[in-house]
Amino acid sequence: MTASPLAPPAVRAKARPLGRRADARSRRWRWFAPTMLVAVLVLVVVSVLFGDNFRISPSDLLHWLTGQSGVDPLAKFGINTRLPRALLAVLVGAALAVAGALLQALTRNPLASPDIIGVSQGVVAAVLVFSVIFPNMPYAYVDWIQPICGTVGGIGTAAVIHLATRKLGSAESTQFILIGILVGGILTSLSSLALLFLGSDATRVFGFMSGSLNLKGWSDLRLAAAYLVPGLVLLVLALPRANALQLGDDVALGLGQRLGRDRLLVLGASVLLTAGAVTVVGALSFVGLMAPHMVRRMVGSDLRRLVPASALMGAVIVLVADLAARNIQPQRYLSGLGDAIGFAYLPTGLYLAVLGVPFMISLIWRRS
Amino acid sequence: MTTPHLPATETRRGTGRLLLLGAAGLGLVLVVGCWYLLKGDPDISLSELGRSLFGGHTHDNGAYLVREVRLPRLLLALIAGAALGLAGTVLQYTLKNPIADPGILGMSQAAAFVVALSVLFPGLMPRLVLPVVCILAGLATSAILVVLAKSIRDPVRLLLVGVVIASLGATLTSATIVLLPIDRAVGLGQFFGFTAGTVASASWSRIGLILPWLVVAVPAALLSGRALNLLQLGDDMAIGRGMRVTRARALLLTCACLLVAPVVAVVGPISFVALLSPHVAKVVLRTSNAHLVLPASAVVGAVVMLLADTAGRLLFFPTEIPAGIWTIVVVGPLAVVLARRSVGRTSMEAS
Amino acid sequence: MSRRALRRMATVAVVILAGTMLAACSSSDDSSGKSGGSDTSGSVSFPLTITDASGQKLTLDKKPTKIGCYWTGCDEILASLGVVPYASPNVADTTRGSLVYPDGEPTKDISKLGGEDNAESWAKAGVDLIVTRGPASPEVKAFEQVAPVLYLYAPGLDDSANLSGLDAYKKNVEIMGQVTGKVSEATAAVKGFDTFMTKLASAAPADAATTTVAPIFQTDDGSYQLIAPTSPFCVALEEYKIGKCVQSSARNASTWVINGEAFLALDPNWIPYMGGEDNSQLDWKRRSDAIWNKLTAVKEKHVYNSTSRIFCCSLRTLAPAIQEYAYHVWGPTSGVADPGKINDYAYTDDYSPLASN
Repeated sequence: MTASPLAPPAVRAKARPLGRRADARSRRWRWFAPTMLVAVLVLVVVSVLFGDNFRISPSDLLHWLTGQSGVDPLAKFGINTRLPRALLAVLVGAALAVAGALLQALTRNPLASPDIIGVSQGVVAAVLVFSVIFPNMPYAYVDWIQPICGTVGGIGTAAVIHLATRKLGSAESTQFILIGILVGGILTSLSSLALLFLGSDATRVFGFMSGSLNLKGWSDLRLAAAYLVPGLVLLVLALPRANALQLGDDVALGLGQRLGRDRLLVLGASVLLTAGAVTVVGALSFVGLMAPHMVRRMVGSDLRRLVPASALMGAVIVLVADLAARNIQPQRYLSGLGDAIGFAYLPTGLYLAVLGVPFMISLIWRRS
Repeated sequence: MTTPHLPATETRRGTGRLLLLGAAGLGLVLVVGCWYLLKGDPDISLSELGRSLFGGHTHDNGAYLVREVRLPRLLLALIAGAALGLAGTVLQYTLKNPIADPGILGMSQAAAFVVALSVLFPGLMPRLVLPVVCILAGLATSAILVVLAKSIRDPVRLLLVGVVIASLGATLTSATIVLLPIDRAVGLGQFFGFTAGTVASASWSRIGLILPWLVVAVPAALLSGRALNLLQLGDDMAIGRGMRVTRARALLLTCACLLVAPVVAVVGPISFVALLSPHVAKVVLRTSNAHLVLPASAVVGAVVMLLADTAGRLLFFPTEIPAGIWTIVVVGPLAVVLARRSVGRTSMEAS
Repeated sequence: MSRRALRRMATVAVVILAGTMLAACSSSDDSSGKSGGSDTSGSVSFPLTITDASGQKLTLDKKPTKIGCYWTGCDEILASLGVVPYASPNVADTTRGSLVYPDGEPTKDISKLGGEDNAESWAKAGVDLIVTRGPASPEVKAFEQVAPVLYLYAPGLDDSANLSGLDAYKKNVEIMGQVTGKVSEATAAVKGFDTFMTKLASAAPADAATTTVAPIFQTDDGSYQLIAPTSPFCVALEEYKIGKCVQSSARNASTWVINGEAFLALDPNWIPYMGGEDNSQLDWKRRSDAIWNKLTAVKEKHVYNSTSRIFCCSLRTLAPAIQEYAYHVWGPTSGVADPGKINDYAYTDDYSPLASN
């Protein structure tokens, strides 16, 4: 096998991918991507049509999409609540998955992800602290100040971790993760402190801390899309350099790249993508970890394929979790406990954790 | 048998520093503790304090408060801090990870989840059984860690398992609260104070509740110095010296569990005291010898908890600020600063 | 090829994002108000514009016939106006009796339709107005797609609005009266409360005004949690000179506890022991902690289990709570009637809390 797909663009342009493995990968990619796209589309439609309270008929959906009148008002309402939620799940899942892939490339550790590093927790803590300090801010202001706070929190956390580990020697990546875990722990505790002040809104705060798409609508979707744009821009800039970083600092240096700046770029892309997603939806965990892993065997480690593949996989994961969250009312299944259980639905993040914990433990075990 | 790798002089110097630390700690505890007992509503005078503690039959208000309210709270803070400090050392040495802490490894979250269930569903379990169930929950967490530690040599990976379990515990707790029926929502205020970690609900009966467990676990921890030193050398070296590594690890993690879970059951998940104490101890003693670090971290932990609870009780009197807030806001960042250097060393060993 | 692929990916991503935003922007998410002719009900004419507790002006085009109560206060106020809410999650709450639903239960039980925090439940129920309490929250934006949302004042729970205590509760009744077109019933309800309190105060013993009261919530960990001094219970006691809530310099946010010693120093004369909403385990005699045993009120048995709703939510439930207070504190000899099982409390025709002899 000649030049591997991990080689930086300059080298690759000269060599042509020969060898069976490279061929197999590009073949798989050719059917993988469209399949995943179709899966995402199907899941979005399913999310809209099926609900715990009422079903929407496909004809109603078609009429709404084509702008015809005469749609059943209940169906119109249902579409207007479910469709933005499903699309938000797609955006957020994709963003977090890509952030995870970038972090894994940056730290060269397959177990890194924005929620483990502490960036998600930083965003959540910033938003909660803001709610505590300004509890009675008129809602018009909260709308645009809160995401800014969240983004600042995420960037601040990443900056603190980066600065703390910068001068510690050559094995930077492991330190990065360790310090990230510690900082993440502090921020999680800080968030639960906010509950002391925000106790009357406990359900909403907990939902935000675990990640919840409950009651999110078109405006939240707009917000997320807007706040993901900077992350996307940085992603496009960072992608070519991130590949080289995966090979190791020495190789990258040898290829003439400016290491510090590139690391910052990749980190920045990851952080901005995470912040944009988490500030709207809360700290959804495990997406950034699971998605890249699930697709890496299919499409290899070349970030130019891994990133879009993870994005699609992340969207699928969050869509599935959200479908479960929206349609499973625990009270119905646990009615044996009588009226000890309320009628609420559980946040999406819980279902992701239920999926993610065994996944991650098996991952850690297998790799040893 | 002398500890491997440490020359005798260093051990002697370390012992000397340990005695100094102990004396300083004792002094601090006495001074701050006295002030703690004096202040409140009403403030009492030193002579009154003496009479309440040693004089016997004074029944006036101040004496009653000292004996029944402030003194148990002071003692609980000290005991909890010492237990957490010891647990931190045991965890960090056993798992060879400088940021091991019951909160990061998921032990406190598991115990806190049990308490959440019992607080929010009041008839669920009698008061006496609570520490037991908390311990069982913590043991479940440790069991996972022990099993996986056999095959995972990289300390970072092992820690990540703990992180994952911690987040699962936290998610389960929030799910419990989200599912709370409308009419029980008022009990939440009490629970949030608990979640932050507070010594405010101390009483002699609560101390009695956790004392049996600590009476077993604390001496066990203090005597584990040799095992901890061996484990620090690495599994292969330890096996080479005749140690049954997995069994030792299981026993040590159980001991840590017995130290942490009862404390969490009564006081709540206090963060970062367990993390910080061994690091401060190592900085002061300038040695990593577990025989010395163990008692030192107990002293440091006790002092930290005392300071945190003093601040929590007296700083904004009469508003109660849970001690946990201070540990998170002050001790957490301190822990980051101190752990940085050890983190660098660990990752170099791991890579 | 690599750069082209990159550009392609970037274009695709931007297109997706842009398309999403376009779709989001173009879809309307405001509840359409139908412009109809004016409709006169009682002395209120629709379309009606009200300023609610959040400070916003809400315009209702027609009289709402299917009111959904997100907040208990709404159920209670409608009860005093003789209206049954169309949909409410509180139907499931077994502690609500004929005090809150004297004319029958709501048609739709929101908790069975998916819970009250789920906008779809309200849509399925088909309400045309949702009534909740401040502060305004982001979740409510989703509700606005279903029906207009009206905010009521919640003194003691949310003090961001400028009205406090009894004035806030009275304003709530006035607002709901306008919304349902039952303005005269609303005025009668407010006057009835005033009559009730005046009659109650007339039965007060001489030292009633100086009685210090500290309503606390039951806990089992020995902590002490007061209610906010802006709570209408405290305001009513002071206004009619039949008692005084203890004042503490502690923060009065609803989740802060006060140091036990400070509470002991406050040493109130009477302690209403509140179970919150779950009264199944309520028994002040079972409580035993170092501070509790030393309280004068406990030693003199000046504590009572309060099964009424001292801390929330409207004039309708406040009155029986105060009657319960008067009955226990002044004793039956003062002439105050035993309120009995609070959840089935029934007002007399002349709004009198006194025992008829």
